[in-house]
Amino acid sequence: MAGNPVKSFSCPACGGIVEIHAVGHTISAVCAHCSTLIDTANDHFKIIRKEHEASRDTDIPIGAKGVLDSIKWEVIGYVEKKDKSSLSFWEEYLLFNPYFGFRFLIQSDGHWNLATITKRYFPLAGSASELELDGEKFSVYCRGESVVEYVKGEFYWRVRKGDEEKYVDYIAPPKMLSVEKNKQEVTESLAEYIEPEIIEKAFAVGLHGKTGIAANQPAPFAGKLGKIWKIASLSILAAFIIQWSMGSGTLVNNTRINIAQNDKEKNYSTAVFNLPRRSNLSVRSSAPLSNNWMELELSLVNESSNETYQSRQVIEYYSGYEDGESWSEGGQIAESTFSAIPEGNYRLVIDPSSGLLGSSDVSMEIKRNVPAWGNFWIIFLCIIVFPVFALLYRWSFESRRWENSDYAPAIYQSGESDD
Amino acid sequence: MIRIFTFFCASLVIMLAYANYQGYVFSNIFSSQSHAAQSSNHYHK
Repeated sequence: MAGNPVKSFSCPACGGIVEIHAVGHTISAVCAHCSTLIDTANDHFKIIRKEHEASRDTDIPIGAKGVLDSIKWEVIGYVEKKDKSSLSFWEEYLLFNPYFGFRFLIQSDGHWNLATITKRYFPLAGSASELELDGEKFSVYCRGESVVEYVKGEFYWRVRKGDEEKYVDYIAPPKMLSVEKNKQEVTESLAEYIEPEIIEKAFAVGLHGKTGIAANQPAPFAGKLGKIWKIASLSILAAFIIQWSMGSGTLVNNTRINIAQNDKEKNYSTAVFNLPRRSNLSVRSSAPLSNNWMELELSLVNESSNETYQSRQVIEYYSGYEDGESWSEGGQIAESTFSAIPEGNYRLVIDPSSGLLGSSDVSMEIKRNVPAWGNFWIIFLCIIVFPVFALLYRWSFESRRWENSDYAPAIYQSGESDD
Repeated sequence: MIRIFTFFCASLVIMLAYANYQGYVFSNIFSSQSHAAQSSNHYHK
């Protein structure tokens, strides 16, 4: 910005020095000493509005220089506006670069936007609920009427305290398209959300923290949610195929034993069977019990090492007829699976106990390498938890974004009524 | 973040394939299957 000419003159109201930085562009300036608004369109420097107000400090001082988007900007003007109905405030800093013109830094509730005046014409701007710019759809977020509360610095348009205009904000986060109408003109500006840390670094200032969610604040996982769900879906599909390809297991032993009431101290054993490699082992027991129970202590014994793996099964089945309705509970089948049994020769030792009065046959089917669908469901849960969290967090964020708008999409409406 | 999640998912799928091949049953980590080495042939009755 070297060589940018600065023009100075004495304030016609207080005599203080007033500097013009955007020479040839500025048509009004506010005296930093007495806040009097001066016409700078020519060298007569007429008073537009006389004030006796001390200049306020702003978060970014007038005259501060900073680099944004690789362009060096100088803050030359400041306007504070208020919404007439909601009474919410926002600040607009006018930035100037002699080669790139003007930009606006807009602050509201600690959220910042860098805006530029668009040269586009939107015939339905203001009345439409949706606008399209470069293929991007902008949805209406708010409509209102603003009033200028405070002015400081210099401007390329006439601005004074009390100026009123209607505005409509359209959003396509992180962008915002604002349409402002006053008696003289319609102005359309395109803003993009900018993190306050970038402003702090660029202008070497300290800023207030953010409160709430800004209209066009980028949502968490923006542009990534679809990819996250795609990766999760493909992973679950791969896991399902792996699980499904295991088939239904290989039968290694089929045994039928008869358990009598007076055989409580007796153990039963299957024939020896072989596991050719490390695998799981499923034992499925069934007994035609009725209003009775049976407990089976299972011990899988390695023939060569005597190493044992233990499990327990309970079969109980009760049924009856009561108050005109039949009922039943329990079942006649129990199933348990031994995990990761090393290769070798094994036999299964069964130690039963039961409430039998007579005797009962128990059929036992032993299979190796059975598909443990529990494994799949655990992997499924591990994969799906993050995408679901991301989706819910995004939905919650969007709901909070739209809770300050009268034009919230139905999906983000709270459903609360005012009556 | 996308790379980390992709790596995480791929690791889980590979873990499932390995666990299934080796016969591991994840739910048995919390179940009653116990494992004991026997010093004598206790079950030969």
